Amino acid sequence: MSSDRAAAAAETEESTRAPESEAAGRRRVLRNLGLLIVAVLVLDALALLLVPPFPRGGQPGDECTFPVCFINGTLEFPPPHVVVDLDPSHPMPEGAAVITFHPSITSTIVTMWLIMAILIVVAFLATRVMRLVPRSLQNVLEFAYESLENFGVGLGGDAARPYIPLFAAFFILILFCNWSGLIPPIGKLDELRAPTSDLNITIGLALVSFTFFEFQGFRRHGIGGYLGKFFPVYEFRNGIGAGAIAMFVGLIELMLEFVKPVTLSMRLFGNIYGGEVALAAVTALFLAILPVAMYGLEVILNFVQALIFSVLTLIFTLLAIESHEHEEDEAGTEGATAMRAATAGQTPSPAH
Amino acid sequence: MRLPVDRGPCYHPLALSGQAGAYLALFSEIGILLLVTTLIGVAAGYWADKQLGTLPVFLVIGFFAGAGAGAVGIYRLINRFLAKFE
Repeated sequence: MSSDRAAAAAETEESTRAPESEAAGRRRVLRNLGLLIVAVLVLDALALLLVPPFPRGGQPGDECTFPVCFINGTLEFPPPHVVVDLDPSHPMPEGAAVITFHPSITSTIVTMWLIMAILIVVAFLATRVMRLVPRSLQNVLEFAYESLENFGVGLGGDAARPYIPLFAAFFILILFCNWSGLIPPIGKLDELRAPTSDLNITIGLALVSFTFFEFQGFRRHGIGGYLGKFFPVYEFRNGIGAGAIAMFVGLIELMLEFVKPVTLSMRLFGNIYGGEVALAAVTALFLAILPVAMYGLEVILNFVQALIFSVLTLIFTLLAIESHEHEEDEAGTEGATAMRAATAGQTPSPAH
Repeated sequence: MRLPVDRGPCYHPLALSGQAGAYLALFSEIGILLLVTTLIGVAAGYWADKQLGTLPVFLVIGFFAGAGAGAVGIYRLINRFLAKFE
């Protein structure tokens, strides 16, 4: 009996102690977090006092007025820094426009090569010894690829399956290019800068995407079939008026086709460069807490931009390979069904 | 231990995210398409005006032509997108 009572007392004591220890653990975590925040703020304040900002191109110790000089000191300008000039006889003008036509290896190209090298080495190491039941690195890569495959197939069905490798490659490359700008030395050293914060690089990426989806369109429909989408001369069989309208719409379609790489490159550049400028301005104006929150936001936004670029490449490819005549036939059939239903005084039932 | 049944990609949670991602990309494209076509129209009109000395006639025409082409582009993009992915 007495042993039962002792056991019950011990149990009660344990049950009261458990929430107490839980609360104590929570308090400890909060205290540590608070201490960490205070430490970061103190470090930030010390850095400001010991190594104060100085004007761009000036010397440490030069007078710097708040806030303009503080912001200017952290800002990156759109043209990237030239690391190797391949045409030294014609130096690149200072303060050049956003797009520069000058043969050179810039900081963004160097950073992109570095990221590409790291990705290639990781992919090589992960797939050097392939196992049926994957381990460690192979497991991580297989998980990433399968997730992207499920995402792409969920978007475009089985038709999207052949284009998943390109979709995944674009996503992974752009994601790491975007995120690289958040690692402190990149963007602070002249030789390193986030590749996608340079319009020249995003135009290159967009041109690869554009060439790919146009090539897929030509490969699926042949030269005549694919160009028929933009120059629908067969519409003249239905009369000159119908033909002229179809040609006009086709010309607009052709113009919009060339707008695709422009929108792809401008969106990526604008978002990543804008993000970096915002981050630089917030870092210059505030102590650590707000820039850290901004960093978190940038991590998410950079991920979304990589996703948008790769998803749009996949969508444009799927739209390029879909049969234009089949689409028109379907529209014609639906129109005929609707006409028949209207003459019979019925509402047409949906096709699907 | 019972292994989960593979019901194909359509039942995968990421397959649903795939559709959400497609809509995200579509909305993003709609916004920037109108901006870019309008800017191209304005730039072309401005260039034509500079050549002919008729500022702002072609600039205004370019603005409306660019915005119109952008609107047509958005209409066709949404139509094709819904037909393909819905």
